This record gives sequence, structure tokens and C-alpha cells, in this order.
Amino acid sequence: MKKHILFFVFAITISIQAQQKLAFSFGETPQSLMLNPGAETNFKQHYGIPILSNFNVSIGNSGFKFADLFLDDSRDFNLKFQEVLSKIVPGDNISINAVIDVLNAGFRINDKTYLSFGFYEELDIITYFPKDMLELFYYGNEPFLNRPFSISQASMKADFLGVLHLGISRKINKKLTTGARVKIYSSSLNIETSNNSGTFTTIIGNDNILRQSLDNIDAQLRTSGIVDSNNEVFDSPDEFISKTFFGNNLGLGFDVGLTYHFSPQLELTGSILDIGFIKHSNNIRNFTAKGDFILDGLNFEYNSDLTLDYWQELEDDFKDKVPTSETQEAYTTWRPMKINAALKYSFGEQRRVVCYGETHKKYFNNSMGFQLHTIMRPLKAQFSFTSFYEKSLSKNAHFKFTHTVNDYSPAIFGTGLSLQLSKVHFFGMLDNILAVRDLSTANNISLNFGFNIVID
Amino acid sequence: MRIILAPLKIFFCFVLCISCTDNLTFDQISLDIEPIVNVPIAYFELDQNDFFDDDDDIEITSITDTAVFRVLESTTVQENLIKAVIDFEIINRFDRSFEVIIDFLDSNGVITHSITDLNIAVGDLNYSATRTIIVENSPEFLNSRKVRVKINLFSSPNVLDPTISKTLVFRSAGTFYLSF
Repeated sequence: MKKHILFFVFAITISIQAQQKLAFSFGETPQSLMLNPGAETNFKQHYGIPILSNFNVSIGNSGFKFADLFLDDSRDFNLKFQEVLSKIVPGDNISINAVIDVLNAGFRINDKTYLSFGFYEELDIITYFPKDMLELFYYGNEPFLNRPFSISQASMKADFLGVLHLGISRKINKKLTTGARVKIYSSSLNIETSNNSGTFTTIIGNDNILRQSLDNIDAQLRTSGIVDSNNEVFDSPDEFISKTFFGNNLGLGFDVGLTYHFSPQLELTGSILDIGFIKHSNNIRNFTAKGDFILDGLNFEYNSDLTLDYWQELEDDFKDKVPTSETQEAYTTWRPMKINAALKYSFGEQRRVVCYGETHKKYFNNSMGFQLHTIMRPLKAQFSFTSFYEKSLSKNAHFKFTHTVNDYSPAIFGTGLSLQLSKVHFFGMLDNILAVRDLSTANNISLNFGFNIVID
Repeated sequence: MRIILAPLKIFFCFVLCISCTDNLTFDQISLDIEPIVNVPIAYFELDQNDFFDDDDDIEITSITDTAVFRVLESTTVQENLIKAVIDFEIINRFDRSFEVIIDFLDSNGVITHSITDLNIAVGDLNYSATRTIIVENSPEFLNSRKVRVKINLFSSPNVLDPTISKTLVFRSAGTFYLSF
């Protein structure tokens, strides 16, 4: 039991999260089209190297640091655990979001239009620390008379899906480029519980010494892809992966984006990703509980004429007042929509680059600006603000340096590289470079890289 | 699956190569989860006429009621309960003293644990008592599936009068110490 809990804590601490923030509006990489379908491109065609064309992973945890629990300082582990538990606040979360491109390619239809398409696998999990429930489990209710333990903090969403996509980027004029992408989602696994409400409270009673109450309980858990129609649990990774290729739980989504030049030096980019839904209709199991209940204990009646089963009465009363249900009803989930925006000012030496044959494009070897990123999450949207400086050493080599403020930390420094050697394009981003010196004290670290074949 | 995991391996190898950590240890991991759980147990309020027969003619000096409880059927509780502390509060408005005997019984009706020393004096409106059951010393307590509460009126020249409303109030709560 203890080991399971500790592995859970460990898993929390090395949670994986992909935001690909640094790659947004950087280096005109083929993959920037996945973050902004309206991104400008200067190549004729591209072919992602399967599996390696875009991979992003980051480690983050807003609740505590790895060293808070496991630093070799001879302090009692239980004391450290209690400190971590007290440090967590409602809203702290673990989020895992990993995207692996299985296939990605694109080609230019004409000077103004670029078409891209592909297929990627995505794992997306967010779970909030249910602080009240954790404390209730760890300490019990005895130290917390009159404290309402809320179940509203119990909120999580997990998705594993495959995404087939087709996007188009079109240059409207010298100033404006727009784009859109249509996506077909194939969900392999979905678990979600959110918008739960209700409290558990122990107070001094009137009829008995104590009274316990469940107030306004309204809880639900929806799942698809875990249990089949024969009540057999899917447990093979191959089964989960195979269902991401046009399984029975399909959805539709869109991305839109634009790039706009206020002047040759001032550029605005923006995108909204994953405006879409998934209809879950296969292998569904939903659970609900709703109601109010007050427990004063067993009320002995000393009625010699009747033999009463007080316990059974209590159980029946509980089932009557807090009914639970298990259904297989289809349901719809919304994808976690992301909103990205960047304002970039370019300056310094002006250069020209040959784009797709005979077209030339001017660019500056320095730029700076800021980016805003938002992702919609069950409890609240997550925001991050990034300021950056970009340096182009040549037409094929670009560097990016960033400072990000987000839910995890106010000081995350990152760096990125976009490099093209002949027809092979490589990009890599490392966020929170200071944390690399000591991963155990980091709240957040991420790496994003990819290899693509680019034909100018 | 292996192909899909390849970038993950590359990433972790890369991070491991370029990064370092402070001194960490996993040897001292020993998490003691020891919740203390409070629950109300049994309560009742008896009038004087509860101690008379149906015709209110003959005083009954002893009454008993029994309830099934299934808390200790749980293997989680069976395996992790260390101690149970039971608090009693009794209000005696009768003109009689009495004793309360609480027997915990297994499913066959065999007593697994008894509390026999709750003696309440005449007019005691604030009687309280606490009794502790250490599971290690009374392992058979874990077999309890019923609780029987017996009230024995002590003999006295004062006779209860069923026509007068006077009550005896019994309240109890348990504090259960668990260790995982």
C-alpha cells in the first residue's frame, strides 16, 4: 500500500507536460504549422522523419519539488510528507501532455498556398490535487471537527487519442497569412471527473455526540475505452494504440491561425488550437452519486415487539438519499482548447533568403517580443507569459532565448535552436535551463525536438 | 510501441546526460499513514414507560436491544485497526440508578468484548466515560458483528412512574486509530 502511494507521488513529481510554447512563432519550422496553421513558411515541401519529426515532453508539478520529499537530509520522511501536504493548495495540479508525430508532411500548391497533413498520437492528462481528500485519508477526520472536506477538488481528465489532420496555409497579401486545420480525433481512452460538488463534515451532534453529514453531493465519473461490452478491462498497450486509428469514439476539431505584419519589422501571430469535440459512444462506463445524508449513528428503539435491523435501515436510507448509478450512456467531451499569440519586433541587419525557387524573403537577424499561451483546463485556464529574444546567425541557424512566467514558476529561462543542414532541418527547445543543474528542485522542465526533411 | 517509445528514451538519456540532481535518497522512504477516524455509534432516549410492560403494570428492571454492524467486516479495517476508543455520554433524569452493559458479539452471538462498568447514579445529568479497546490485547474484537446494549435498573425504594415524562439519554461515539 505504502509503495503504491509513493509510486503515485513519484509519478506526480516526474509528470510530463507538453506545451511546445517555445516553438511557437520560431524559425519557420515545418512544425510551427502545427502550432499556428497561419504561420509563414518559406519551403516548397517537407517530410517529417516518422516518429522523430516532432516530439515534446516537459516535466512539471505545481505542488512541490522532488527534493522536498527525497533530499538526503536525514529528516523524517513522514515530516517531509506532511510539509508537502500542507504546502499543496487547491488548484495545484499534475498535467501530462505528450505529442508524438507519427506522420507529418506538406507541400506547396502555389506561391501563396501550403498544404500540410499527418497523424499524431496525443496523451493528455490533468489531475488536480484533491487536498481535502488527501488530508482526510492521511489524518482522518478526528483532528478536523467542523471542517467541511470538499470533493469539488477531485477533478481530472485523461485522454489518449490519435489525430489525423489536414491543414492549409494561405498568404492573403504581403501583410497577412492565414491558415486552418481540420482534425479527426480517434479516442482510445477517456476518463474524466469534474464539476463535482459537496462536502463531508463532522460536527458536534444533538441526538448523538457526533453528527456526520454529506451535503449537496453531486459527483460523476465518465470513462470510455477502459471496459469492453463484456466487462473485460483493456490492459494491453497494443489495444490502446490500435484504437487510436479510427476507433469507435470519433471527434472533429479545427485549428485556426494567422500571421500579420504591421510593418516589415513588427509581426503578430496568433492561433486557436483544438476547437473540437469527441463523441464517446463505445465501451462506456459512467458512475454518478447525488444527494444529502446525515449520520447520527444507530438509533436503538428498544421495541420488544419488533426485531429491527438498524444497520440495514441505515444502508437503505443511505442508498435512498444518496443514489448511485452506473450507466453506459454516450457522452461528448471537449478538447482542451489552446490559444497562442505572439508579438515580435525584428531589428538589426537585414538579409534575404531564397524561398521555394525564385521567391525571396527579407528577414532581420535580431528580434524580440512576447508570447501568451492559454490552455483550457477543467478547473480553470492555465496561462503563461513568455518574453523572448531571437538571433539569426545565418539563414539556416536561428537561436531563441526566453523567460517564462507560468503556474509552475515565475522564472523559467529557456533556449531554442532551429538549424538546417542541407535538406535536414532540426529544431530543439529546452525550457528551464537553470533547472538542468538540479532537476530535483525544479517545478518545470521541458524539451521539444524534431527532425524534418525540408526542400526549399 | 517500441518505435513510439524511442523518442522518450532519447529524451530521458539526453536529460540524464546533461543534468544533475542534488543528493537524493530513497532509502528513508517509510510513510506511516495513521488516520484517526471519528464516527457516531449508537444513541437512544428512553422514557420511564419503556421500563414497564404493555399494561404499564409491572416494572421491567432490565431491557436489551441488539444491532448488527458491519464496519469490522472490511478487510481494510480488520488489517489496520490498532485501537478503538469509545466515548459515552449519559443523562439520567430517572429517580433510579442503573448500569449499562455493552457486549460486542460475533456472528454466532458469542461475546467478543464487554464493557460492564458504566454505573450511572440517580439524577446524574453529565455522566461521561471513555473506554479503550487495544486490538492487540483483544484480537477477538475484530470478529464483532453485533452490539448489544443492556440497561439494568438497580433496585431502589423509588419506583418509576410511567405517567411522568422523565428520560434517560444515551449517546456514544467511537474514535478509531488505523495504521497503514
